[in-house]
Amino acid sequence: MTSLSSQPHIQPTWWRDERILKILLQVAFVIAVLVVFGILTQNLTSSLRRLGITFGFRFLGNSANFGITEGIPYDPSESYLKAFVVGVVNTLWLSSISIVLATVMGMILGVARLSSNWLARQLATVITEIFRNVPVLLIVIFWYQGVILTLPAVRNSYSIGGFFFISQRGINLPSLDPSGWLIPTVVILAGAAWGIRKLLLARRPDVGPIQRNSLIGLGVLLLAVACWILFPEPPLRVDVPVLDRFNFRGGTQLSAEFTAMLLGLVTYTGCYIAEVVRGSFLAVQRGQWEASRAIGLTELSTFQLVIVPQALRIMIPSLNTQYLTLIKNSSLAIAVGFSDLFNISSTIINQSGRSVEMFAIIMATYLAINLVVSYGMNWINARVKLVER
Amino acid sequence: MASSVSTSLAEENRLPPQEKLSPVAWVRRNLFDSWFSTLLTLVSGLVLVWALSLFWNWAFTQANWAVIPANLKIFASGTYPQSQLWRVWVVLGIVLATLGVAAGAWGGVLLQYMIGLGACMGLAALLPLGEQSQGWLAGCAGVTFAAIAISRGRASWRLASILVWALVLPICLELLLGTLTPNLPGVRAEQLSGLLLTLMLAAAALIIAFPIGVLLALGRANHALPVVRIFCTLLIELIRGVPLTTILFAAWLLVPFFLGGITVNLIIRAEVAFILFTAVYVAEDVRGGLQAVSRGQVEAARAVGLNPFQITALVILPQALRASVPALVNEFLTLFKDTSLVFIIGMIDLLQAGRVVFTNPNWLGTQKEVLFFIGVIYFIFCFAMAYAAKQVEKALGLGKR
Repeated sequence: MTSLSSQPHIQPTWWRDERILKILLQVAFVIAVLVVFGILTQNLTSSLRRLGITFGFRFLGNSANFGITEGIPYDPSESYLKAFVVGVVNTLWLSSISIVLATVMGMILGVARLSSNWLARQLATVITEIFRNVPVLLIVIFWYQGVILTLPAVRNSYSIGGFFFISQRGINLPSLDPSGWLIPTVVILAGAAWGIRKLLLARRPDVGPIQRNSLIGLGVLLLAVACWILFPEPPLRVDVPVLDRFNFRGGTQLSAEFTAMLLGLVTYTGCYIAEVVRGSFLAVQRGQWEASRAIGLTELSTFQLVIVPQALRIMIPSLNTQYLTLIKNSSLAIAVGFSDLFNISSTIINQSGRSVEMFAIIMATYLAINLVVSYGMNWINARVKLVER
Repeated sequence: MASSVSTSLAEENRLPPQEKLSPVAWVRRNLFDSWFSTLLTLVSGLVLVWALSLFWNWAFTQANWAVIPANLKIFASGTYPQSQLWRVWVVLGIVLATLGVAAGAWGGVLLQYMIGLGACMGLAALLPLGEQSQGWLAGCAGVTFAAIAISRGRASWRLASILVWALVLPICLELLLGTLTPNLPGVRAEQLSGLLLTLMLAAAALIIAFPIGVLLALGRANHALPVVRIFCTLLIELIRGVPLTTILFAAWLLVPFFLGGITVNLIIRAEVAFILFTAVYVAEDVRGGLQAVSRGQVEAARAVGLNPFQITALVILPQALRASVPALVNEFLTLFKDTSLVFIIGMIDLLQAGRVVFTNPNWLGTQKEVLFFIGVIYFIFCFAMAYAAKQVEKALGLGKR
């Protein structure tokens, strides 16, 4: 009879020892990566030397010498860096407006696909299926060359109520011009809202939340009207565009390129968001509806108080992905000539020949934007997350 | 026979009774349930009528549909030389034969599609498209049906029908571009365009990106080798963080710097960009699948004495891939649509071929017709793939709780 302890401990030979193999494998991997990386760097430096370029970011200070029609004020004599910043601002502006509108559209379509109304459901299904199954580039080009460029010229713009004008050159819409009186007005209105709420809570605690909010709203509205009348200058003036002989005066203009990109990104991403919304609502267990019905909640309050909070929680990670995709898709602006960061960078590359440096900058910028958006979405996610005990 | 009838009856008895509604009651229930529902019906109805009348008015009074048949060749194969067009047809025949064999061996939705495709081509052969095209179309339909007939029910050919693509792809590329014999002229890669280019880019990228993506996912999930994990994670996050446009641009402008004097065809560089881009997204989808495999599976596999390689290949991967089928199909749809971005590096895919057509002075003002037609082609491909994926998901029993 041999006892277990008397058996010698079997030491595997070193080439079969898992721990040593792991280390060897990783060392080999690192060496392979370093060798490939080294060859590539070597090739890069020799290619650059042949072209007579030294790697560096000095060229960003050179004068750009090309015009940009869109975005923050910029003069062609300013530096490449400034031109790039204009592009970044345009990308951010386009993406943020698109994200807001796409979310609204996605919510409406997604909920419509779950509606008990047959017609609305089918209509929403057809719209989502159409836009989800064609390339986003096709949609953008369709909006640009198929729709916007075939609209009437500026002189015969379509007008919506005399406020919005739609033409070949894009959309003209009223702008809001703030004056020095805006900040005092906002302070007064916010103070009034807070005061009325405090007063109502103290004097009339029997008033329900809906009535209370309408009373506050009424008070603020009256005060706002008073501000607009009493102040020597209106705090916020609405500047409606007026058609002159050749172009619009006043208001702001969304250029044809911007409008096409906006429409393309919103319709494409909106339909993807609709699917996210639909999936999230379907993922909320049916029992939740039944339970809320059992405790006597109405259909609307069930939706508001029980279903939406749970669906929101499921929705946010997928929404994050959709937003990031939208931001990346905004680089398609080059197809219609909207001056986003990618379009301007490609012009800079063409002019200066600095492709390697510009690439590093483009990648870093996109990564930074993505990181910020992800961080924001994760923050929201943490806020709505189920607190488990 | 009798038992199957009785089980189906029993199945039926277990389901809740279906309510039979009269049409009027159905309309009231589904369209005019409440004041809100009525409002919704009216608004949707108005939108529908408005859109349909707009479309009808355009399609039958304003649109110049002659642009489509006149430019079919450009949409299909772009600038590919007319005299060498037979090569495209031969490649189509080879692909259809391979797909037909797979369809016969696997059956299911693929078989339905291939029969449908063969029938469509048989019907198209009867259209007045010119004697040559008609002959080729009839030939392709014949090849498809022959391949299906030969392989029908041969389950042992299933694996081979997938592996054979590794051989078919290079043969097709060589046939399309290469100089096979001295008296066959080579075709420049830039002449590969239109729908042909779109399909080639998408098919090759998917077939090659899939195994790379799986490897990246395994690398990222590998906790035993931290160096490999960090490398894979970095690669995935870096490429996922930038737009495909940027990566294509890099393949065009940047890659030559790194090759040290070797020239690589632009089409290959674009393909590599697509492969890299797709692989990292595939990797993320597979990672999701890997996370869905329960730890008990690994422990059980270790308990029966499998080594790490066997555990991965035989236990984890099959389950992970099965769980990631829906996400993978989405990835392929995205890839198919994203091939339209090659316009950035000056290649002419289906969409770009359309832009070439409607900027042609002879066909000015036909952008809506052309874009509509191209949209329909993309839609058919994507919708067919999405439908097939749904059938496969059902067959795999995914999503059932």
